[in-house]
Amino acid sequence: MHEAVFKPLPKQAGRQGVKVHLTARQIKTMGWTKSLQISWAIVKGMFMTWRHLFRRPTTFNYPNRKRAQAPRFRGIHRLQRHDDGLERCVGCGLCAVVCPSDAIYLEARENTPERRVSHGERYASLYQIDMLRCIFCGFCEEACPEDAIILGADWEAASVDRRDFVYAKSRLLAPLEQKDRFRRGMTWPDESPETTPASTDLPEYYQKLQNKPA
Amino acid sequence: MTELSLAIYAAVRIGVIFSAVMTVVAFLPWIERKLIGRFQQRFGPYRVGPHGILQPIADSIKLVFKEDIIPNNADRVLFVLAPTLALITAVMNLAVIPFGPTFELFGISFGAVQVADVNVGILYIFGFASLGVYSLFLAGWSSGNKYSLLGGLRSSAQMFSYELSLGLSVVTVLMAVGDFKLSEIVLSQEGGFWNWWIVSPKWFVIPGLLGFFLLLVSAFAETNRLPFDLPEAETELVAGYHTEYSSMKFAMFFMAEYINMIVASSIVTTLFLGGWHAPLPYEPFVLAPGWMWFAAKVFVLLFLFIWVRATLPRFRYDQLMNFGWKFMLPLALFNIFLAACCLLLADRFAL
Repeated sequence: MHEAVFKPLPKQAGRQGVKVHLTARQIKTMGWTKSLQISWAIVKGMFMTWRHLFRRPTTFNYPNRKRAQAPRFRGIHRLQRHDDGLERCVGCGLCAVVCPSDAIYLEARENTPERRVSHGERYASLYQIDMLRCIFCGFCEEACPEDAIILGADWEAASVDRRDFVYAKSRLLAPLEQKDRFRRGMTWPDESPETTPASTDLPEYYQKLQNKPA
Repeated sequence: MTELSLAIYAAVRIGVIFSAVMTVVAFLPWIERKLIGRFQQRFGPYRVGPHGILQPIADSIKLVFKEDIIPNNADRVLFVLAPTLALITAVMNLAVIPFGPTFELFGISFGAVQVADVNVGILYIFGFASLGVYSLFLAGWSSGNKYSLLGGLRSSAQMFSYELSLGLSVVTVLMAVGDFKLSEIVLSQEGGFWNWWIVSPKWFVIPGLLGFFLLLVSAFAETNRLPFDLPEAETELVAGYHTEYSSMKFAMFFMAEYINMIVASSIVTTLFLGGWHAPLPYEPFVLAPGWMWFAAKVFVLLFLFIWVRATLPRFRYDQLMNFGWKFMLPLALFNIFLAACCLLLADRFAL
């Protein structure tokens, strides 16, 4: 058990600011120096805001210009395709299992020679994500053995109808012609092994993660 | 000149001044929001028209079509009367302000750009400003809402307190000019900015500067602008006296506030900043018409209003009262004494 030890806060270094919160008694006994000090503080404040008037706004003119996202930003999910156009998802359901908020629902179906949707035995005939439940933790893409589900760069998911937030497969699946299927700034470990760093090149904390006992 | 032509001339002057001021009032909120945005490193309104210039039109359409709610436990007569009174008292003040020396339209001279040159001009303005307090108080009282009531109480207490220093700060100029007529006060400041009452050597500069400061601070308090916006303190009182108002009734309070800002700036300009006189009495400056100089000075003061709003936080109530009664009032009284001494001295040495 820790015993709470209260230390006095260190006295603030440097010049003491002008005290702003004044009681009636303090104002009554306030000298002219103090009121001059306050007036000077007001003048200083005025010039502070004056300087800010000519600075560039830090906000964006949003719908016309959008902020660049970090390469590993976790936005709306994308179901990926192979280069030949077949879906990566094999309907194993690991994403639905790992999902902490139970946002993913999928039903798998067998691939047939006449209708081949993925390279594996099965494919996801139904794949839904409830965006109102999703917490964008990214566990689904970590769990996916096929790198089929990726959290993309899109994030504008607003709607006026709750039903619009259950994204069906048609909305999640990457279009056929889309080539940059992976998240920006990352590589496919399985397709180009030479570009992925060896585990010794990874930062230390990744190594720790990898050596962690199960 | 017949009485009919006088009436027509007066009607034209009223029409021109009213429409000009209302145009400024329409765009002042946009200017303010734009500037406040820049002060806070935001863009401000940007979506309606280029740089959001059509925002006032969008706002007015929105306000007109909003539901006009009268609360069940409101006093209906006073509830409707209050915003009307606010707007009327604000607009009435425009009547006596001297915007310019001469006014020509289609080659016809209509006299001064002033609706009525009342010989008690400054008293007239104080009278209507005091009447304007009733609108805020009645709004707070009649809404049947505790926040409105607190806002109304605060507004009446605040405005009564600051009207004292407002009146006393003006007395100095009245002593020097010897006339209540606003046009006379402007004429007394002819010939360069060194003759304006703010820095006039006729009373050795100090009373002018002090009076200007006192009048400006009191004007901030009278128009309920930050740092004196206690009647509508959003963080404590929702929206103060106009919490329960919606639609056009709210718009009337809004318009009244901005007209009051213009009136306050105009009074400061008229009394201390030379009215419509050019800052230098030489060729390139005097070519611009008087109303332009007046408008320029008023806009500088309006910018100051917005600048202060962007800088200073709101006073606490006891601080406000202390400041008004224990600092502004004694200082204003001292300033009158100082001005009297200076004027006597100047008179003695025939400056």
